[in-house]
Amino acid sequence: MEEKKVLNIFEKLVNIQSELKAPKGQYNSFGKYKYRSAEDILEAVKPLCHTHGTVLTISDELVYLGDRYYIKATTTLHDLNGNVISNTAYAREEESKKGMDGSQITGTASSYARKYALNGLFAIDDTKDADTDEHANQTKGSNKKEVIEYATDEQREQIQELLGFERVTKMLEYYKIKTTKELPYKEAQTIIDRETKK
Amino acid sequence: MIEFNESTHTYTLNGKVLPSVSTILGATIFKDKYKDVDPYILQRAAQFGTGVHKAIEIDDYFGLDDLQYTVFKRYKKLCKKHDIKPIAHEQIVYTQDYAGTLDMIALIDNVNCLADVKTTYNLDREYLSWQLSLYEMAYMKLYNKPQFDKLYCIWLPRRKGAELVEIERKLPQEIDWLLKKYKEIIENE
Repeated sequence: MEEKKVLNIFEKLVNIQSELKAPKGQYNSFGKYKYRSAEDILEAVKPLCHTHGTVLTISDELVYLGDRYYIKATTTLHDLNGNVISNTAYAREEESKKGMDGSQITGTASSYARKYALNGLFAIDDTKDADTDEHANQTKGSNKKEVIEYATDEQREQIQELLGFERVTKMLEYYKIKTTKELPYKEAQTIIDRETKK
Repeated sequence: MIEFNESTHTYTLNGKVLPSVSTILGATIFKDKYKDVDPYILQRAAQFGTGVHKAIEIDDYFGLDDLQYTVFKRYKKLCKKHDIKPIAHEQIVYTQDYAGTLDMIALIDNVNCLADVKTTYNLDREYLSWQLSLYEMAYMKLYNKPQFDKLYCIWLPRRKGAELVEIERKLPQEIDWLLKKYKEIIENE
């Protein structure tokens, strides 16, 4: 009798990825395009997780990066031996959005982040929607890396001079960075503005 | 040894989970304190307050948005006005029954004080009275220290002003009553 091979979590994920067909179950009648939501992906992936003896969990966390709040979604695939594979994605919370109250804004950002975290984990490619509003909306915040502009040499010199050694050390600790080179441009400018206006 | 899990906001003493001061108050006297407030608003308010608390702790404005920075500047002015000299910040205190993190121990006008920082629109003195009294009780037991000379709230509402508000202390028997009440509620759950 052939012995059934015990798959490790990576092999299980590969199988789920290759079997997964996540339909675009949503339709935007205004933009006239179909799109896939986090719920569509979950509906398609849950039976496969069951078949392959895995459990999928999703969690949200609010994180402060630069000067904005982001929703960080983490999707984690667990196998029954306690092994895990995770993927995270971020979505930025808009300050305000027409027709939406605060909780809806947070909910929307959470949906985007969750969808992108699922896309990353299950290798779902949404790039063919690149010409749609949906894509534009999603990439505004998402796992697409934001380009961070760092402090210029001039700003760094000014900060050293204005804050002095002790406060610069405190600042590095606060931002959890090693040198002022890693300080975002906008933060650096805020510090200079506040110090010079004192 | 006391351990605090920041993500779950749980205090554990030698493996035993201790209720926090806010958990005790929320389960007993202040059950409906925030029941009508939109969770989103609460979350925003908490984020605002956390930023200001952090700035007070490190005594600098890094990472603050403009409104938080304005509030922090008001705090600095208040410190000058009342000669507030912080001695310790964000200190975990606990007994066998509960735990919490006090905001500040400070010399205020040269007397030894325990203070809590609030950035809320309204000041709930009754809540503060219980909160500070519970912290004080835990601090006294933990370090075998006498009472603080005064209990204060450093009130920094978002929109305007900054105020140092003296808070009345609860009696030890009132605290005992509260802890008993909490135990009863938990046992009947």
